[in-house]
Amino acid sequence: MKVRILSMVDVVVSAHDISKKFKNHQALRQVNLTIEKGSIVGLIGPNGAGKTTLLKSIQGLLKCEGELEVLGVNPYQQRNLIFQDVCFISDVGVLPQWATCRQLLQLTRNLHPKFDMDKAMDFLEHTAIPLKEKVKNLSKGMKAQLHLAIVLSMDVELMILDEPTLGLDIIHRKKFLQQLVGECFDKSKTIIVSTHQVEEIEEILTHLIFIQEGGIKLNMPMALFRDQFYEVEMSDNQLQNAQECHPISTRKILGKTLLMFEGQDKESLERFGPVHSPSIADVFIAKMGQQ
Amino acid sequence: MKIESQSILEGTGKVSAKEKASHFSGLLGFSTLLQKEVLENKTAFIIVPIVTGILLVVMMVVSGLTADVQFDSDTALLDIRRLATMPEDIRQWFLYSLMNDVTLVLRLILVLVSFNYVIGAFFNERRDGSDLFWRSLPINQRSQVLAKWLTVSLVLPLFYFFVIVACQLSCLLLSSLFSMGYEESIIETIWLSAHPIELWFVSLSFVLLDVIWLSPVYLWLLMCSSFYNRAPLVGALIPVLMLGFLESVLLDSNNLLEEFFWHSCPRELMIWIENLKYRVIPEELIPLNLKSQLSLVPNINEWKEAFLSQRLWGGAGLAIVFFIATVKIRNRCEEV
Repeated sequence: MKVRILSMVDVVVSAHDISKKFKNHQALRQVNLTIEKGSIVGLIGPNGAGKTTLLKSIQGLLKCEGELEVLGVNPYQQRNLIFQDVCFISDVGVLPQWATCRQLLQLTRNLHPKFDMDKAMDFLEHTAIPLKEKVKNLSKGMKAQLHLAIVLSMDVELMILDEPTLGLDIIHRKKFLQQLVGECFDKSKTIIVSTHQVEEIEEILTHLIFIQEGGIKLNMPMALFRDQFYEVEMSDNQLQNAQECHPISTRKILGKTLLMFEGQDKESLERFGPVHSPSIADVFIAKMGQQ
Repeated sequence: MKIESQSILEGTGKVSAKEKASHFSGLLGFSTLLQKEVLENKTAFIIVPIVTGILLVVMMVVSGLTADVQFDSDTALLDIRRLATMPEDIRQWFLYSLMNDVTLVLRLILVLVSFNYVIGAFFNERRDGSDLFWRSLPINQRSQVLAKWLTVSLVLPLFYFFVIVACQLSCLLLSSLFSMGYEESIIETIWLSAHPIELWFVSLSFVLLDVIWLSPVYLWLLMCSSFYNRAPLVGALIPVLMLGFLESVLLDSNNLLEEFFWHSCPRELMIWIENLKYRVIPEELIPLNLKSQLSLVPNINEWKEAFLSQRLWGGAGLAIVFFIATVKIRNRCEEV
């Protein structure tokens, strides 16, 4: 008996051995992934690692090998259905330049069954975006805010953000993330966000995925991540002993030596020196350097 | 018991996603897609024909005020005294020719605008990235292709049709106005001979017929617009020219190129082009060619004949193939 009632299912994305090849380039290599409802997942990887390919596959914009289900259906085959419950913001400006903000909202209202016009208007009231203005005349920050207003006004299950703050200055980046967190926090929405500004989203993530050369290099909940990686600041005379514990990276900052360890007890590391939790960016660099 | 659903709303008592999908891919969604196309191309679709129409009317007024009105196609208005001397059937033909001459520029602009729109319809959206935005909404590709095809085949020609009718009406009104003061009856000589309502009805019928007639070329261009990553017009023409060249060398015929040309041409423009050969006939010989000329005034019988022609439905069959191919290309999305 096959029973599948998606409202009861907590798994939003389920990928088994998915691969994608573009001519001679293997963009995804047997990716296995499960994303649960309500997660805020950070997808981190260097340029060309396969982040956008993975995100496009999840949206059903690319056909890939393997088994991929989003909200219980194959996204490529059921794209029309998927986009009722999935929305995305990509790294490039995708809003139609010819439209005025008002026209864009009206068109979206008529084309998306779960778009709430009042919510979008409320959202835009707190911005400086003039509704009569054409999208092409808006600043980059305003375009990002407008797009965010549109996607946040869709009552969807999954939001995919592919470098949403790329090109924005720090003020607009902060504003964008504040709005995102303010709207989505505790609303059981699932968010997958890919960004290079990892330190800016670190605090809101519930899960973390590192991707490199099309393969998943790390996939864990943030709660586990905090207990999984430690960085120890040590003197040179402790270095020899510490090396025996197989650090994943060694770096020197201002004359201090910092060793990063994975899967070690905090207590056992404290004998080498002060221990602290590294940032995601530090772990990312360490893990990428391991390859 | 087998329970299988694709609805994430199932069990919540709300409308299923599938039902909503069908609703939004239905009338509201589809009319919104058409509205989107019009808004995006407002200048070419609405402003250009209206401004051109206004200019044409201004030219008619200037022509009426300044010229010593002559009965030839170089002037926008007519001479009621000479018109009254003509037999009814010739008069009808001249009035028809005049009404079409004054709006020819609109028909030519329509062809240019249509081709420009259809070749860039998907290509431009892919190039500026907005394709990704529209793809992120729950609209199926079949509806998108259908909307673009109907926009170029029906919505756009209808806009131009109404402007053409307004210009032709202005032409008749101004001709009547400038003919006042002569003893010839304006009603009888101009309005009852021109049969404007009948002509517009036939003209509208041809606009509807053109939806099918032009479909193979428009859908071929739409397919190329969704397929090529650069220069879609070149990509669309090269295969046609190559096949045409091969046909010419191997079979000593030019059917493909001729059909491509005629299927790019709205029927009324075709009739105007065919009509051209009679324009070189000296005026005094016109009565001798009366019968053949009068057959060139479009009428509903000609429409019926065209509707039942093999060329029309053969092209429609090809158009269906191009439509399916375009949807498949759009569904692949690999190029995006």
